[in-house]
Amino acid sequence: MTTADLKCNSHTATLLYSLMALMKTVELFAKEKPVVQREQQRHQYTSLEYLLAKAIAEIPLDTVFAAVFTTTLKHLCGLRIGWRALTGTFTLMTVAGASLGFAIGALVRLKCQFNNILKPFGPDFFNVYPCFPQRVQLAMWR
Amino acid sequence: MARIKKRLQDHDEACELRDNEAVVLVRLDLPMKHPPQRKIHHTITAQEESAKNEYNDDHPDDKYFQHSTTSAVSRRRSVLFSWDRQIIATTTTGCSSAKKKEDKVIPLSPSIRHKEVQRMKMTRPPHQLASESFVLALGSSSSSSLQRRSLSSWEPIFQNKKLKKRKQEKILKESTTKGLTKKKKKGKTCATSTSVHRHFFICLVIVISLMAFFPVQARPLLGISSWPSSPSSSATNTKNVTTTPSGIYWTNLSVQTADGSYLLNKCHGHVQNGHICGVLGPSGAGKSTTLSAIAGGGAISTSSPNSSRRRSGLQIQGHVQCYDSDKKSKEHLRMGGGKVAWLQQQDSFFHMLTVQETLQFAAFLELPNSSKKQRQQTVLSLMESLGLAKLAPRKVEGLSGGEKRRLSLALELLSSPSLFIGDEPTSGLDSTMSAKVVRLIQKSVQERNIPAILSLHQPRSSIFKMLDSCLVLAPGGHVVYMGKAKDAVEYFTQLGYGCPVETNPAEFLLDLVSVDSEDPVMAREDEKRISHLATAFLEHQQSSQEEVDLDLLLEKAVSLDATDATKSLSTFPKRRQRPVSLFRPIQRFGRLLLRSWRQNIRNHRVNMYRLLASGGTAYLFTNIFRSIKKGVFTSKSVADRVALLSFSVINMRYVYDNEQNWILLVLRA
Repeated sequence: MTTADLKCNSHTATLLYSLMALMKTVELFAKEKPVVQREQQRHQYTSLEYLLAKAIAEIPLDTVFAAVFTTTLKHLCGLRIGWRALTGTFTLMTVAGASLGFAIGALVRLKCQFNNILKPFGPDFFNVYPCFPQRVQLAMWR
Repeated sequence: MARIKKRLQDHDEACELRDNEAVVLVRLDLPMKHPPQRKIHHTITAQEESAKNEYNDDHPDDKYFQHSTTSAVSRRRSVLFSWDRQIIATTTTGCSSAKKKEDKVIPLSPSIRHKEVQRMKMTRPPHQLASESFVLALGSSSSSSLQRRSLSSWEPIFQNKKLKKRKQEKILKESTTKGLTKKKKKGKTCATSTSVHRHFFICLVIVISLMAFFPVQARPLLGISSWPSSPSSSATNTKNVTTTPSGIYWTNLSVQTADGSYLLNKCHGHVQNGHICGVLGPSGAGKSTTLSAIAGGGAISTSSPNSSRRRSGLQIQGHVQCYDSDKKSKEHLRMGGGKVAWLQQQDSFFHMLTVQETLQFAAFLELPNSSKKQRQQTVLSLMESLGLAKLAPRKVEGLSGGEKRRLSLALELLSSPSLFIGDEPTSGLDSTMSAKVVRLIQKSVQERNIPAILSLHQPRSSIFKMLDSCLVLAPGGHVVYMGKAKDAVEYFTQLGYGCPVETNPAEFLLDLVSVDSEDPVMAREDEKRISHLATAFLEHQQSSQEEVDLDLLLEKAVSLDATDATKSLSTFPKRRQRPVSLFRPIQRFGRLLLRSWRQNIRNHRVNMYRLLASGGTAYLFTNIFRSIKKGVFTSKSVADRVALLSFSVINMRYVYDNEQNWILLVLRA
């Protein structure tokens, strides 16, 4: 068993999972913008409060789905790593992905912009560039 | 007992105890020496009458008598005594549940009642005196047990005609026999009239104080629209206009671009409280710009009359002032201060929240000085008034277009604004729903006694009839008409543009100010007509300047009298304003967190997908892991497989956006 293969596999799983969270949160701001803008116009709360509330509200669900994934994986594969460590890692990566989604969502002002710009190029960018740069290079060298 | 019976018989010949009848002796609780206490001393039935046929007047413990019903008692005769055992009133009530209540009132002398009040006045603290004399005035006793009964059973003393007649006869006899002088008569009548006045005044004070403690938002629930001194009906508004200005006034309002061209030419206008003004005009005429200028123009005029401010390249000039005839005050409106309700074209909500949750959250943010109960009452009354009560538990995403409009309207009206603005509130709705929405807006602004300005793109005739006034705008920011909606057609007829028969007046007005962009010859004619109409209206406004000046003079007079008005109003108890809690930021964050959490957890479609994706991906990865064996270099194949999986899974992420996707249909099935 080559460790490179395992690493590649586990890395891919982690990245894939975090990207799922990212894609969920990336358009949240664009969707909720009209409501939040109306409330912000009346100085009802600060942007920081809203952002923190959104981010914290994502954590429990991300943890649950990460736990489902890791439990299934550990049970079927018989991984030697502890369940807590595995779930913790995946949760962390999921939350990081969600945060990245918020960051990108903040840059995209409207939902239509998201649909027009980010959707067509997003998957290709996220799949090819962050996940497999080395693999692409290896394939090219060979 | 015999003495009481004798007294009762003195006042009513038919007052004889029957079988199974209890006499309940109730004495007014006047703790001159003894504190108020509840003691059941005597319940005397007819059977016991023979045994207890004597009633000792000098009994030391005869402070208080209260009834106790037994199964044998079918009728109860309650006798209300004053502290010195004067009978004030009696009532007879059937005790059996099978029998109907039979009330018989034997009223006694009004002077006793007056005496009683005088005595209470001597012995009681003022706050107790007020409440007890109020109860007494209604014909009840101060006994708590009797207060629980219906007050109608203790009728006022004056209502017995027989006794009234007797009393009048007695007075006449006394006046003739004793030869009372007119002065004495006057004194007596004055005494009784003053007592009546006093009771009336006390009642009035109690009623007013009770009303003051009810929150304003709860008044619609109680059927109280406003204070008696502040009528909200349109009829009274018209009356108010002649004395105090009400509604929104804008003078010399104009909007210019950076290059100096006008988006809105100088215009004056006025919309009374409770009235609706429709802003009509073709697309690009500057309807939204006008609304923005009216809504935000108040802040401009605060600094100086001719001041101006550049906002996003636009220069807005003029005065905008909002007058409240009830408060006799004026205020400069500012967007974002909660004083301007702006109904947007599109409805935007958190779709996973219910209608009630949406309103409650908005109420929490909009009304920081209100208690939780007050907020709940406000939300409930608003939902009832806008017909949202049945939709309270439903999610926003399941509402129809009209229902969403109503919810948007409710959100805007939560903060009790001074001005309502609707930017094409009927867009996207069918004609029936549009009429309903405008009618709802009309009802809401009349209830709240605030002006409303609505920009309408293509109003149907029924909507046009609902408008009290209209502002007709032509391309280039020309104001062609501002005035009563019903006079608009007549005004244009005088100018030589008659409305064809059986034509919607709104359509006629829009045709007048539209420019044909396809035909240049027609376009020139249209522009000529518009410039003619604009000039004519300018002259018309200048000729009717006196009315505007009169209004402005009235405004100044009222603003000068505003201090006196506030002084006179200050005698009424002000509504208690709760101070904002120190923990408000924490509470607010908690509410925001709760809203976000509900938005996440209730999105069942996405959650279900993520759950399936988690399990499915784990299963696929397991298969890949199993295929990795010792000594076999499978890096390339792994990379290929993982790449394929990644693409498929991430692309599946878009499923929930596209409802026509087959995967979603499978998941739904």
